[in-house]
Amino acid sequence: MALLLLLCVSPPGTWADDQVSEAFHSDPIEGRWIAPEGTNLIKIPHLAFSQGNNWSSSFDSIPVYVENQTIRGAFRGASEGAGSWVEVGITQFDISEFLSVFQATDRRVKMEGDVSRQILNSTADASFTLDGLPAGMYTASVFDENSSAVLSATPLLVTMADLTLQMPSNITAGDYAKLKVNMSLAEGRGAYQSNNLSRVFAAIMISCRDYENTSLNISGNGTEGSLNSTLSLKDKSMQMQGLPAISSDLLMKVLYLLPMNSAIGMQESNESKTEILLITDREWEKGSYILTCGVYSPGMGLLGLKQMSVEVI
Amino acid sequence: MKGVPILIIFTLLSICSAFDLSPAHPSPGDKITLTGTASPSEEVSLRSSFTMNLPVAAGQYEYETSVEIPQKPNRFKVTARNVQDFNAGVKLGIWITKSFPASSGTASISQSDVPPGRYSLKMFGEAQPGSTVVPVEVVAETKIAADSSGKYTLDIDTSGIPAGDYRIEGAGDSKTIHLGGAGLVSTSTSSNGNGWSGDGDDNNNKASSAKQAAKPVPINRETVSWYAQQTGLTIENSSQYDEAEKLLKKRLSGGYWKIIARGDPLTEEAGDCLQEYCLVRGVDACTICREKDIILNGNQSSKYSDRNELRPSSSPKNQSQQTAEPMEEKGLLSRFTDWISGLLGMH
Repeated sequence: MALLLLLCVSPPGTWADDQVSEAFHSDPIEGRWIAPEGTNLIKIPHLAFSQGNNWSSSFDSIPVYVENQTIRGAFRGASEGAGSWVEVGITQFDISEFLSVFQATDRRVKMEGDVSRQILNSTADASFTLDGLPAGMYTASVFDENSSAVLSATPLLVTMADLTLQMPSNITAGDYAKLKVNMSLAEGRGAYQSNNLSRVFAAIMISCRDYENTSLNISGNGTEGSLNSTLSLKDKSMQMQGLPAISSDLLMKVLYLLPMNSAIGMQESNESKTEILLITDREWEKGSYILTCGVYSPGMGLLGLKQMSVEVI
Repeated sequence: MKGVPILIIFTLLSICSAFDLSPAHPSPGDKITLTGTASPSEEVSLRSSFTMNLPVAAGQYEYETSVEIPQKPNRFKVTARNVQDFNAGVKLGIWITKSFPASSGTASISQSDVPPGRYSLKMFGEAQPGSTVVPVEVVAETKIAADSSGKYTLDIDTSGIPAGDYRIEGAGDSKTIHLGGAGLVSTSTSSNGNGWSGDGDDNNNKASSAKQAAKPVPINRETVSWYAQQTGLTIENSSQYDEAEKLLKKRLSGGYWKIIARGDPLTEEAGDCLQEYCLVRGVDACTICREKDIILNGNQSSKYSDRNELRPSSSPKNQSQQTAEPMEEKGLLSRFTDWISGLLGMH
């Protein structure tokens, strides 16, 4: 929940439009992380989970695949794992399970689709390929085949459509920023293309510097009731008991945490393409900004999510 | 026979529900106090509306103001005509904008139960070709509870509301108030008789004469120097002088902004320009500047008094505008909530 709250509310940033990038999911120093490849990586505010005194996991990006797009990646194992067999599989995302993922031993029974069985090479790395999935939120996990222990896990998002974003690369502070959004539905979603369902196109723009100073820490001792979440943006922070529950009140609080030089724009449309206007102020700090755009359809869920970067001059 | 008692009851209700407004001749920005009598603990509905004509420059229209939204329940509706599109922005710490397509040149927003507080607002977009003005009608509604003796009081903060005549309706009564001053906003009559309604022609004439009185000052070295000072540029530096001139020209392009000189009338109750020059809009510039200062310098969180307070907006406010046809729709934050909940698979 918290992860997705951040995904939408305190926008992510983007870099690579669709391309190969490597995200460090889990601990990049000790190994045991999953690096998604060849997909749209959405940068999220730094997200950290801790249990007791031990950090379980931390993320700064999330891979986004289009429905049925093959899921490729690599597992970077700890050096002592070289030569051992691992399995990579996918489960439906569940925040409670995700938080306890490293304690789980029986997750394979819940796998969606196929499982990739790989042997770790001499550097304890292994590439994997998994079949595409229907739209939804998932967790990709890597297990030790012998012990069934979870070696690493990462959330991933599968959407029904790919988005193309167009905005002038330079925007003058004080001007309106016009974003053109074009949505291409995944294969097999043609019927949806032509129907008349309303779609909400939304975009948020925030400076890279502020974004990089944003974090969400979720800590607990293993039970959901013990969880505490702390959302920090620059010098402001907000603490929540338990997992953040999505509500208008919470969103209002988060909005007021966002730096003044941020903007949100929305547009409702039945079309696949539309324009979103964002208001900037002359006082905005100049520099790089992250623009995140999502398309949501009531009843259908999230259709697409994409990021790009722009310069405010 | 049934009609007679019904008529009597209605008449009595009307008498009992009358309200008064003070002061009788307020200026924009003043607080108007509405007092009335109803049945003990009765909930009284009040409605207002007015129409303002936004000037079109280079095919675009724009209006910015700041309003305070009263306690819930409340409802706002804004309708713009002669438009190709309509964009409404509200500043909730940051700017949140929503765009609305127009149908046959008309776009509407309606929103209920907007969280109380002070908001900066913008409405802007592209006018229909050939249009010189965009009439925007604003309707605001709220409810107020009478006390145990049947008395009720409502403070109406008029900051951000253009000069003109407005009518307040509710509790079987209807009153027209005039916000004085030679406001620069051209306000036209709202012919539907809702709430605050403007007295259009009269105000349009006032607007014209006010604009003529405040003759724009041309761009010259003095005004560029003044503008450079306002924007933190140093005119001794030739590149910064050029930059200031460029920015000023850009600001004045389209005719929506203008510079007036000391002594020229500003807007509303603000009196004359007291500085060497003043950069003003064609639409209640002074109020905007003042309210902006309040926003920038003050605590943005809403402050509520024990009294009820109503701020009919000159633009709707709200964080959740909805589209075109005024069915009651969900708000922007609700949309966000839905969106995120959907993303989380919580639906």
